[in-house]
Amino acid sequence: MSRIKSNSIIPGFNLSMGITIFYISFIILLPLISIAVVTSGITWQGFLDTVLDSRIMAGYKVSFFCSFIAAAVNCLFGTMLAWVLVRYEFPGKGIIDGLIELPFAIPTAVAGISLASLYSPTGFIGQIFDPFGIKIAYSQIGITIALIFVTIPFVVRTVEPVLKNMDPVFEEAAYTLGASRFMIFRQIILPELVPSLLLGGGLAFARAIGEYGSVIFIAGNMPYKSEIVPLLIMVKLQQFNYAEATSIAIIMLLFSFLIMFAINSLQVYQQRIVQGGTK
Amino acid sequence: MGKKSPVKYFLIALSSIFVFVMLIMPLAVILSEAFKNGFSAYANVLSDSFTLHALQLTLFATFAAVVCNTVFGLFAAWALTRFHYKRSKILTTIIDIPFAISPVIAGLIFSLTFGRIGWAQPILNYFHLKIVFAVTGIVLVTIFVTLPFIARTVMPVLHARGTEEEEAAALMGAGGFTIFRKITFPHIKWALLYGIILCTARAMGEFGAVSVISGHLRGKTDTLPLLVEILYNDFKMADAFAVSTILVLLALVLLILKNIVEYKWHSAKE
Amino acid sequence: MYIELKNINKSFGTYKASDDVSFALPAGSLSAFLGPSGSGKTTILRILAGLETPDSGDIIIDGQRVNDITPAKRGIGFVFQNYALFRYMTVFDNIAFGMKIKKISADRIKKRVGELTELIGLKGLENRYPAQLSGGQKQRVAFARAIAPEPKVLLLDEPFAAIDAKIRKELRQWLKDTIKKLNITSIFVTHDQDEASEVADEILIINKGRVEQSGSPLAVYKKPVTPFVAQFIGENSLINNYDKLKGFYRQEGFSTAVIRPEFISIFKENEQYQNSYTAEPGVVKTVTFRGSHLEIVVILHGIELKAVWPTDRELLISQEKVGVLVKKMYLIDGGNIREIENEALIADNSVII
Repeated sequence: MSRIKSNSIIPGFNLSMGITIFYISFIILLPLISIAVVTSGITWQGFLDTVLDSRIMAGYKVSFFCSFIAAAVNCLFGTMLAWVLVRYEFPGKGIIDGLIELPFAIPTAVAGISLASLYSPTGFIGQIFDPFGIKIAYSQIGITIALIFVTIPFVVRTVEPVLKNMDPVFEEAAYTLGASRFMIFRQIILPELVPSLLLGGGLAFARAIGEYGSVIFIAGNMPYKSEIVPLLIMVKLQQFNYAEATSIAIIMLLFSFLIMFAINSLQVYQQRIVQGGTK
Repeated sequence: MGKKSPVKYFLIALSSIFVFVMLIMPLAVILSEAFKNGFSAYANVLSDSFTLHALQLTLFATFAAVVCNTVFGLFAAWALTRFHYKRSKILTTIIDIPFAISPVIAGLIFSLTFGRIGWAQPILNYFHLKIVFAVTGIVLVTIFVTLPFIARTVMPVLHARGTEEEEAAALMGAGGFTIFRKITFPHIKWALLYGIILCTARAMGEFGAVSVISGHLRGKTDTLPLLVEILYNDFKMADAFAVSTILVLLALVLLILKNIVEYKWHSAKE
Repeated sequence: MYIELKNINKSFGTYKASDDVSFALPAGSLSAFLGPSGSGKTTILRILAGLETPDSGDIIIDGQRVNDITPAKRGIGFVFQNYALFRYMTVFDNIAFGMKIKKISADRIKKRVGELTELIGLKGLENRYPAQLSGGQKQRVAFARAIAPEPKVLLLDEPFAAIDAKIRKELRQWLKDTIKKLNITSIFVTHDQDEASEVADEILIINKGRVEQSGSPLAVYKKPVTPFVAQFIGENSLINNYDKLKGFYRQEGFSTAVIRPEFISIFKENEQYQNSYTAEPGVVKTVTFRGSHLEIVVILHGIELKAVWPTDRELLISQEKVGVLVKKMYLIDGGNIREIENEALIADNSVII
């Protein structure tokens, strides 16, 4: 081994560090390196032709647009849910609280077929909108709804602890000064929530961009209209077109790492707030 | 402070509607669709040999992923929080990678490594190993997508606690295993259990990554979520939903367990 | 000598935590490492315990070089600053832990834990968990846990830092008495000079990773040998323009003077006193009650000086005009210290004689 040395008397450094490095090398780094190996066989022109193809570009647009809307909707409803769960007592609160993580527990494929049948023109909700000419399933609306479903927990669970830890003194102070409840929320509470909203929204967005299982059933997967990027990668793979699949994946990976970097920075900030460093 | 009731009731009502439409209705649809053709049809689907095989494979892959990631998670948490090692941050970031990337890409990179154009293919051939379109591959990608859960739930708990208790025990001559069992483990047991539950839920439901790597060999490499897809695409809707109910049941059990563990963990903190 | 450190060096990156540290302490002694925070005193303690490895130098305990001996085999008991009690173990299990590791029989462990809980006055609380104890009780359990395996040396890192002021005083005395009774060679780390002087037989003043001075508390106070010690010990006034004071002259190279409160005599205006020729007129700026005495700040030639005033004399009030006599001071520069007397006072006294 290299000259990694621990100067702690707690035993097990070499063993645990050795296992950790070996495991992540084998499971994460080794497969990731393959991207580079395959990329080295792709010409620059080939790469550009693939990723700038109009169908692929349409896919990026659909993925980003729907993910963004889904994250935004969840910021709104997530904050509301967190608020209701932290500030109010009412019958059935426990059930709502317990169900928030349902989208994490339900396999995405199951959620996918369930949402597809619920929102199809003959489905329970779909038939309400069908007479008005609104198609939910097999459109970008359907994709967005699926993405909202799978990312519900993120914003709720990042905003909740911040709301819980918020010192009521500021609100009370504003209240005694005659501020209205809406003003208190706008000017005192919301600014405190912004970092956690960005974090929760960011996590939701990152998850939504990569989501596959819950979307493909409801999306209808029509070229230029309702194809998401993970599906396009899947299509290329089924054609055994590894080079093009990899090219598309590289663009996605770049975005993923960018979002991850932003989220990491936000997380450090968020932790400081939750742990009550600022009073 | 005076609470204005209309706002309160409006928000509670709106939240309840949101939860009902977005969470409860999709759940209810699965059950109603599954029993559309009657109970005997439902029972037939569940006792079908393909279903049972898929269930077996799902449970096996989930079990393997949970065991591997639990062992790894504990070692990683020990390595990265009990010592002041300057590269710990980088390693932690690497552990987070599976959360950041799309499951489809996770499947893709394993195909690129171990598949027929994969650079590791000659090595695998030499040992007569098959990963892509085989159970091994399914287990590997499942491990990949669920890798961070346990490490990342245990680490913050250990991190927040500092290392003095372990140092005190080591100073008195306790060995690594004794320190872990007697000093460290009681602190992390709820976090560990919590991580295991999250890891299990994600592992059994993983679809995108497994879909890429499995090759959909029915009766061989189909997990339950993949079987759901196949049945649905064959327009056997009721069958697809029937198979889904198994996963829903497992999911609900895990969800209840999660809430119990969360509650216990919370009370243990006080 | 029982514990000896020879030329110990330790760096964390570019930060030098221990700079050529050497000292020797006799068996049965109770010593204190005293220094400001960040001075490196805890590092020396941790090096002794084996919690840190020195970059160079020798650690000798009872005539044996222990550098390469694992911490657990050095025969050291360590009391951590925040006690580091095992939170998921009872008081009994905490105290018994070290003995269990040593595979001592259950009967003997039970007996010893019984003795120790008696000693620390926590008999009957053996089944409590640390969270159910007060700060002072936790401290005593940590102490009992450290001495349970009968170590040769006891090290305590800021043992009183996390305890209320009132209980701290009691605990200091208790700890001193108990350590003396057990006759175990002990070292504790503190940043509080009162604590160090009250508890320790010998104090080692630590600054910037070096041992500045060692000796009995009184000797260190009376005869500081380095500029740092002169400033650090006592409630001093630090002044630059010391030559403005009557009877003192600027000395080449010494830019700063340290004046202890007891070096200054203060007289009320109407009072008859000796050396009235040498005393200069000053004005009282503030009077602060300090429990057993008053702390006075007087202004003399624009210089603020701290002095003490006994509570049984007629009280001073702010803005009162007083006579001030500075008897001596320490002059310091980068590395040297010089004690000088008031020359006018010497002359004054010789006239009387």
